[in-house]
Amino acid sequence: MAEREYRAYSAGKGGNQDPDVLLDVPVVKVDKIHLKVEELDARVALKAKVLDLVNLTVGVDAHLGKLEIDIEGVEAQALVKARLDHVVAIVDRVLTTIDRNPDLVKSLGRAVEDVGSGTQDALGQTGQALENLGEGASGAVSELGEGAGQAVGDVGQGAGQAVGGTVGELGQTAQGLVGGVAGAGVEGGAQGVGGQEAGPSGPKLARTAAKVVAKEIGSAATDEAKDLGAAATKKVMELGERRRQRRADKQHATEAAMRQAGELGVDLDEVEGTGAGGRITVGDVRAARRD
Amino acid sequence: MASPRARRLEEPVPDVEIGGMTRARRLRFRRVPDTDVTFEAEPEQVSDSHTERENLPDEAEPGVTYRDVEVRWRAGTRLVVDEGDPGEARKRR
Repeated sequence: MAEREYRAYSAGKGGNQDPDVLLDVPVVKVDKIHLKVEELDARVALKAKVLDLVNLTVGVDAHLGKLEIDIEGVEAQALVKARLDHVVAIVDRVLTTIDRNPDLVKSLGRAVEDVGSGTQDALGQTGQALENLGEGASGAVSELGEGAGQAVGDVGQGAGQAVGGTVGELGQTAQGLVGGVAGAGVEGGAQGVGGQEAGPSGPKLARTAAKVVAKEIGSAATDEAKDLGAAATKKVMELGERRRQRRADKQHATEAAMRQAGELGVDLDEVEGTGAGGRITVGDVRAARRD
Repeated sequence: MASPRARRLEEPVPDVEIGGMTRARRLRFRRVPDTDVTFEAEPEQVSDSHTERENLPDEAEPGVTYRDVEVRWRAGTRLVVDEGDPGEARKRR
């Protein structure tokens, strides 16, 4: 076995400890060979990353320049070893430190929290604005009538899109964060195998999962905002209708007459009603306009 | 007190290790290569490169035939993250 022969000359106690990654090129025997090499580079490296807090790299690079050689009766072998225990212990120590000192990563959490808080504020302000529009601008709403309801509906849709976009961005941020964490964690394992992509499914899976989560967050926020917009539209339309009814009762005029008065700029207080019970009609408004 | 790079510790177990061995009944260089070994580490490392030769001088000469040659080489490196981390800093070629 090549491993056994290698152990015989491997320096230090570490040479006898079983590696996690072993690339064993067994003994190659060649009777006679003429070998010509232009450039030969061998590199083995182990990398591990935990968020942006820790970045570990350890590796060996060996370079052989131009070589031309004649050999007879050749035996050759090569070994590459990587041991993960030490690096894993370091990462474990980092995670333990984070566990005991969560303030270390609070800044990361706070950044995401701020985005979430901003989104929540935006939602709250949108609702408040729509509510104020419905209750405060009573005159305008009553004059706008159904058109106002439609306009607010548009605002609601706009708010929905805006909030959906914001939360979508939050989702993207979360996606990047999750992708970063997971990708980094797997990178160590992948790079540990002499640069081979041993575990590409890890980061890919994490990215896919993050995308799904982000999409769901954005989708949920959009739905919520749509609901908010629809509810606001309905509320404003009800308020406008109620306001119109109150004014109609007060003015003792038909709705059509009120609409016509608004269009023609006629003050209903100056119009004398000729309808049933002295109610102001459209004809009364038009007559008053002519006068 | 010795710096971390200069420490020699009790149990040097490299995180990454690469090595090779060659035996030859007859060996003759037409062209002697330049060789270079470097170590990379973040944040810090201890490393060791070691060569054992039999019937081959440190500086081989082109055109000379060497007989019953054996060369063993290994290089290993280990991360150092704090004062309590084991490792060693010797470096031999």
